[in-house]
Amino acid sequence: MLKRLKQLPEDWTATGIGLLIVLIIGTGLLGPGAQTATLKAQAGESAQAALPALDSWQIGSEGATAPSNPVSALVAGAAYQYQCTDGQIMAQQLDALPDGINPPDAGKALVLLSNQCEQAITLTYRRDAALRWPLFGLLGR
Amino acid sequence: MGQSAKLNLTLSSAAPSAWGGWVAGGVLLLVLTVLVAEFDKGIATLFKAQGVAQNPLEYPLTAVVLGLIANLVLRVTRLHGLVRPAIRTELYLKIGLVLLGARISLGDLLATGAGGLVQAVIMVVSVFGFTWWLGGRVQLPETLKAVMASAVSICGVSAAIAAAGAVQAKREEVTYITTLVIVTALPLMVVMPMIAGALGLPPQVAGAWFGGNIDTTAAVVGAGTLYGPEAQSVAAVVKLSQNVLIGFAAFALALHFALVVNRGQGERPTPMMIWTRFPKFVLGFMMVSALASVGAFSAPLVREIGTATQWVFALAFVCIGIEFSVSDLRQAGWKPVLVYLAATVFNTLLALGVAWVIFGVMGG
Repeated sequence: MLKRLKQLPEDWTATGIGLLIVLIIGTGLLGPGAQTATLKAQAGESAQAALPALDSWQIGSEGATAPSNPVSALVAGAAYQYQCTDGQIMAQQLDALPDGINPPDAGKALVLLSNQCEQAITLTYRRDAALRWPLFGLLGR
Repeated sequence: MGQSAKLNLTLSSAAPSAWGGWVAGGVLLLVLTVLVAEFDKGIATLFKAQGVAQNPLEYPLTAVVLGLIANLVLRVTRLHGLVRPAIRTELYLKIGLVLLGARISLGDLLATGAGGLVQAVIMVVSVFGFTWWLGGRVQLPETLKAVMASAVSICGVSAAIAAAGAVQAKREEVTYITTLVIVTALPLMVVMPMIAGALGLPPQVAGAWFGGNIDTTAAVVGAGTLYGPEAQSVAAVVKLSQNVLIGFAAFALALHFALVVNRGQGERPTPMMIWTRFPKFVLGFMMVSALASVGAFSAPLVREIGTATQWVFALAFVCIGIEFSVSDLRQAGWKPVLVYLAATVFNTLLALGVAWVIFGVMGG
């Protein structure tokens, strides 16, 4: 097997390795892959999570109306606050971090949830593996 | 770029232990590539502190310089032969080009590739003819003339090897031309983006100029990278368009040598030769490009593949520095060097004109 692999012409070897890299990255074996972060906050409380600075995040919520202005592209070093008031969640990017909050690690962004509503709320940040599946998302287009 | 494996195989078999060499060379390449990334980051920070937002010394340059330093150290310590099996510039480059397909849609490929193919045919025919004519004037051997004309007009090392197979050239002739190709390509990789910048060439024209003129695909990608992402894509596609002509050139050369020069001797030309010499990795590039065109890759995946592409290209550029050697040139005298340099100047000027017309005036 190894001997056969060594005898493979360079062009085919390069093609195979190239496609393998695409597959490995695409299925999330290498790189960030699929990600999920859940922020839960009781009434009057806050929660936070540091997430990889990537785009194409899908944002969901429970306990309040979904944010009308969700931030799906997170920038490294930035902080985003989701605030629940009157059963409605609104998002905004913060110019400065609130007191007592440490900046995120390199390559990450900070998501803060502040719950001023009367019930517990959950905010979910979810991101699929980079490669769309099944059949590369072709059927869903 | 089809037959370069042969050369690599010959070279690697000369090393004392291929597997030991792979491990030692692999570790060295890994360390050097990480250093490239670190240096690149440091240099960018330095420039940013001076108010220069874009790092003018892009990573290909850093990688080649580090490779050259490693080359010097390896030769002084006589360890160059040991790490040789892992120094596979062409392989890393081809992997990078397959990955580059993720960034170039089939539409772009057809648009740029069509212009690139027209440019390639004009360039290959003209530059091949000029080199062949000039080589004849100074009475270079027929086989050396064929290898040189193929290298300077198509795509350097791979074309030289393909032509050498077709005309039964001597191994020293291939080594000689290969060295010339690398020695010439390195300065062109740095100087051409500077000239393009001074002339204010649009990225499309500059990329087509690099792709049509510089002989090694690695240096083409390097020059494109130095000029910007758009120039890099166009340069790569134009070069690939040129690469696909290798098989046709090898077939024509074999036919000419069989019918005219050797009259029946040498490799027998068959239409199959066109497929045999065809650079198959271009199919991999097109496959990834086709997947990108139908939306198979999400934006984050394209970005992540882009990062992987940079790493593989950095590996290739480090290898270019490590492979660099001028000692082979001393043996063959200056006559072929002058022909090669004259052909390169002709190539440079003609490529600028053709790129300007096809990608500037006619818009690709």
